[in-house]
Amino acid sequence: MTKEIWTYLLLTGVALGVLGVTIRAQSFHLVGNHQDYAPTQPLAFSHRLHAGEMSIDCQYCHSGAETSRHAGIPATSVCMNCHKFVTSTFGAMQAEDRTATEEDRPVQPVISDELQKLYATLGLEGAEAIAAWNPLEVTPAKADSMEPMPWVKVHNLPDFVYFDHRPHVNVGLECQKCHGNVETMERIRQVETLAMGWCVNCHRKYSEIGVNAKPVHAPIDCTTCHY
Amino acid sequence: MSKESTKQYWQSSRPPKDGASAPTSDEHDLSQWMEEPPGHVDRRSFLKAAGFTIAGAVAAAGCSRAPIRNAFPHIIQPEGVVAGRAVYYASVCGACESACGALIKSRDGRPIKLEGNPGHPLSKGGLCAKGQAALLGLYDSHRYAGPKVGDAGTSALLDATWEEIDQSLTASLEGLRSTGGSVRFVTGTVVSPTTRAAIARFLDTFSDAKHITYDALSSSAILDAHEKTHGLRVLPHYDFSKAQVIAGFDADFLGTWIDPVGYTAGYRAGRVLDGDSIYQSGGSGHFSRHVQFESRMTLTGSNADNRYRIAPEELGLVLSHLAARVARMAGTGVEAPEPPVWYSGFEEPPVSDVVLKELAEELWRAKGRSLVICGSQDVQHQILCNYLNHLLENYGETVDIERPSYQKQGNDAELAEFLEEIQAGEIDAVFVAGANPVYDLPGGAAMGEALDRVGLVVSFAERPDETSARARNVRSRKYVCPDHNFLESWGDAEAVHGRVSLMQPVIRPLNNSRALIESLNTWSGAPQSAYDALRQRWEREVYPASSGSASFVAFWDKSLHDGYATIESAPLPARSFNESAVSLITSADASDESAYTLVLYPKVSLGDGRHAYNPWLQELPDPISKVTWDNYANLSVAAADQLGVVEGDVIRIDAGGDGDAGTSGLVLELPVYVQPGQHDRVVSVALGYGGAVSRRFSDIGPAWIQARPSVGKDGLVGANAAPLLALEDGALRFERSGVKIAKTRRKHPLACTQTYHLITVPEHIAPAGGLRREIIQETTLAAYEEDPSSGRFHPLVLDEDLYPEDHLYKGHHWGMAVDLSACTGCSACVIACQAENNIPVVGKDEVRRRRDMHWMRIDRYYSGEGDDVDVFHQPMMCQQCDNAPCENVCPVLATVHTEEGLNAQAYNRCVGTRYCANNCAYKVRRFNWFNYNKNRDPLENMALNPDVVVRDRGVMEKCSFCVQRLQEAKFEARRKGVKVSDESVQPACQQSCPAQALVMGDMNDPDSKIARLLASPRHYKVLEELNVRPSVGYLTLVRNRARETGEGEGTEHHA
Repeated sequence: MTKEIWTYLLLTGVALGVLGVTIRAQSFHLVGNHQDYAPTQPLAFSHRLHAGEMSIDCQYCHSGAETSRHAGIPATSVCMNCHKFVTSTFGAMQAEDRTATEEDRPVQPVISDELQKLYATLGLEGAEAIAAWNPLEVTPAKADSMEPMPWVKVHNLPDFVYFDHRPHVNVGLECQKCHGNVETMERIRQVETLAMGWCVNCHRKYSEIGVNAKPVHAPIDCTTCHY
Repeated sequence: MSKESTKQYWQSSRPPKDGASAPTSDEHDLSQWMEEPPGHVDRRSFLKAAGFTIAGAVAAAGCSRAPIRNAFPHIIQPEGVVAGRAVYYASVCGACESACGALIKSRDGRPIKLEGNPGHPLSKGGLCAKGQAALLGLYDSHRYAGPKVGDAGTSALLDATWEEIDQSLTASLEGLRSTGGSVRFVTGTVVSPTTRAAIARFLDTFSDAKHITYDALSSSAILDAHEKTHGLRVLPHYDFSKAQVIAGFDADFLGTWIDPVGYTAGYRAGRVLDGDSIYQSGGSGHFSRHVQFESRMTLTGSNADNRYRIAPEELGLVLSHLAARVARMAGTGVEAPEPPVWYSGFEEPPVSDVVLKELAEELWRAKGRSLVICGSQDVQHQILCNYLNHLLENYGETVDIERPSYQKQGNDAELAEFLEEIQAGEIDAVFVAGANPVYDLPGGAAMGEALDRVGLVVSFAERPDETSARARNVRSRKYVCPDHNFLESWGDAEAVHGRVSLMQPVIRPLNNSRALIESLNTWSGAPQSAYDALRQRWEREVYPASSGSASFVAFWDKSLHDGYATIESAPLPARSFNESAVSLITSADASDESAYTLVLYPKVSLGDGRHAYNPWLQELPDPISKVTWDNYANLSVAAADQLGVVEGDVIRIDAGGDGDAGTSGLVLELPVYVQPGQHDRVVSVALGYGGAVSRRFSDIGPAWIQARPSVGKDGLVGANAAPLLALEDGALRFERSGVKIAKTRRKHPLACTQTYHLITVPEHIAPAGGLRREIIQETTLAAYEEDPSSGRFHPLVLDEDLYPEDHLYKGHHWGMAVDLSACTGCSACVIACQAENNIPVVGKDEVRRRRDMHWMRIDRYYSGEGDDVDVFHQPMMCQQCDNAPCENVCPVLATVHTEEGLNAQAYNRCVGTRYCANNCAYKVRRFNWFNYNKNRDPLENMALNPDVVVRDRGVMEKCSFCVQRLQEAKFEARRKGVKVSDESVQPACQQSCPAQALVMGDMNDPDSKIARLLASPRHYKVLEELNVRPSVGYLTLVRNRARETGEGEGTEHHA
């Protein structure tokens, strides 16, 4: 009798499990596969705006891609090259312009909430401090008191994989081949699986067809990535 | 021509019986202590439990979320810094006073590796094992975190701030200045002129102040002898590259003596074979002859062309015989008797008179191009050595005293005076920097007690040592003002007169330490940063002697970039030789026949013991004995037989005397190591062990039920032999005669690596005719000149293959050649490999279980009879076989062949069957029995190379030809659109080799060095007969000695 109860319980469990898996099938990933991972970032940085609308070159910010293993995340000082002057969205600034004209007063500086997070990492408060900012005046002692922006890494590889941006960028591959259409993303999302099979298939394919009509040799030895 | 000589090569202390090459000592039969642990879990229940656990883990992982990994950017983008890109800074190695040029590889702001600076005029691209391992000295959590004060009356050192220290010290110093108290500043050799100047300026503020310099590994007798013979207390700079005949007397100049890296580079440049022009240092066009007389088997002796065993007491006699003969030839005649010389009052020499006659003639023929080197601390011996060099007109040629070396500045006479003063209580303040006198001096314990009575003691030690951290109830006011590590410091070095180098910091100080110069400047009343002091001195004193730089700023920037500066500083005035100082020694000290002479020596790994904190060096096998983690009493084979002791038996070495107060007297109890080639009346013991810094190794290695500690019962690694040194006649002596040896009943097993990983064949499993393996192939210079391929063995290779020839190697095909003639066995490559490839330290117990993890080992072979042996060093790493036996047996394809000829090892795929290691003919694969990496000091993780995986438990690993460097070189070459050059593909071992014995490159590139070496008639493959087609080849060892009978004459093929 107890045996039967156990059997039913087990069957119910299996059925529920199958149901659960079926529901989740769309989002079910193998261990370590983080496709579609799109974490919230500490600052709502929009690639759509910068890379898409403004057409800033990827390597203006990710300048390591050509010379290093890592493409790198830009230092705050790189952001400040523009955001020393651009302190808010174009719309907000236009609105302020209009209001100021209507109210017949000097235009007030507008600082958006998101950008204030950037300025906060530099310890800047207020429009005057931002306008007066000079990277050469940041001494090591001052820098010690600053907290860098804790960006959340999206494209993660396991520790036993050594990916190097250099050969891929230098051969002329577009960043979008692996990172997807970043210029359309408000928030960065991992488009590809970044699994080994995906890497190897691409290496095979481009070894056959070449990149931009140039023949390339993309090795598929273990030591290409594992050492 | 091929050979099949009858010469035997073996690796244990004694030749094998009946030609088999298995270890003979029972000590190495590990089965005896590999019983099952009590209360163990059997295999079945383990697998059952593991199955459940894994199933559970997989079920849980299905719904895992990506971990939040933060990426923190810079705030201000530093110039020239790119995340993930290594930057190399030229600096000076601070591991010892040799002051070799170093390139410090820095990744994302952390120094991760020290390499040789190829442009440096002295070290010429080499960096020794100690220098490279010094990286761990930076990442050492045991360093002083900040300044400390030890209050009078208490035993503890209390944390303090620099302001507090400065305030109270300045007050104390003012008191000393007003009362005229005596101040002594004790240091090791200070090779930095800026630091020397700061010390001098500081001491100038006192009326009775003196800078006492001593070297734990003293060479003061050389300086004293030159004072007597040339009127100038200097250490000559020896140029080995010019020397065609080198006579060495108890000087281990390739291993531990003064400047091993610089000397090795010179020695190598002076031993050039035809077609050998591939080496960077060029060469002298000659192949020098090197004869060595020594009492113990040194690294230098193992490389000599001829080597003779003499007791330390006989050294003076041998030198005198030689001097008498050379003087006779020179016609000057300080007692130049008729040969044979002993008829005229000379005692008979311990070596054959013919040997000395021939050596004298050889030296004389190479007049002005020869070199006599003596490592003795007896001034009389050194005067004889000077006399020989004078007669041979070597001064100004191979021996330079006009541009002398500053690598040893110790003055033992002043040290002795200081010790007397401090014992008498005449000193009011002692400053100790870069020295540990309580540990490394004879009578150190007494010195420590005397220090407790001194009113003010200031130590600049980086980490707690015997001198700085004496936990006694002291009466003195004590300060610890930790100096920066050299990787955090600004500094300079003038190792040789006029050869100046710059040291720069590569990381901000990890601790609250302060540069010695800054501390001194503050207390002198003229606060100045080390950088300002350095730059100011260079502008004032160094820059005017330079040429070719438009401004000081340009000169400074160039020197900082290069790591050294070329300047023309005025040589010291020439001096003439004072022959009246010479007196020949006509007899050896008669010693008691039943007594032994104790010889204390530094090891290649630990030196004087200041690096004893360093786990890499503790686990580095000694180049000769291959023992790790211990010091031991070396006895010759004959002496061991006579005493009836075998390796591991503990003996009691009694040096008599009343002994050191507080210790067990002049007695040492150490395990025996049987060392062929040592003098029969000599027992030798390594210095540098038994220091307090080695206490930290009490729990190194994996923690498991059978684990045994790496330290002895006293919690230390080895025993400190320094109390047995003798400070006599104004010189620190490393030998002590009349020592008694007694057996004890105890055993202390040694962890020796040369008893396993053998690639010779044990007799009981050898196939017919397959017992002999021509692993070492050697010849003599004479035979080589007749036939460059002499000594080569051409086996019958059955090269039919089961497998299709599907490795085409259309791109690169990496290969390596190792020149056995150049390799000295110094083991710099072993540490280079360890640092580059994140190789863990396993501890003594694991080494004894044959589980050392070094990817690269240097096999040491003996050949000869009894104690008259030749020694061979053969670096052995993965041979990257084209027909690799390991690849065929891997069930999961974790080790596979790449298109560039590497045996790739994919750690993440390996399941640990260990079939590959079993099938490897060269025994170069290493298995992680435990998660060895877990056991390190967490701060040491900073030294890990981020380009190499940190392997986990259960994974096989091995040499990868530094594939991460190959990848880097290929990517960079492609980025710049250039060909991959020989220089860019140097693996770690090759990069730092002081002798440039290793060459790696692309065998498919006809212009590469490796392609030229492959074509050399000296090139051979180890175990070629197996047809595994290794990519690593060796060049025959050539010794410059009279042809041996039968050698090179064999004509039979080995079949």
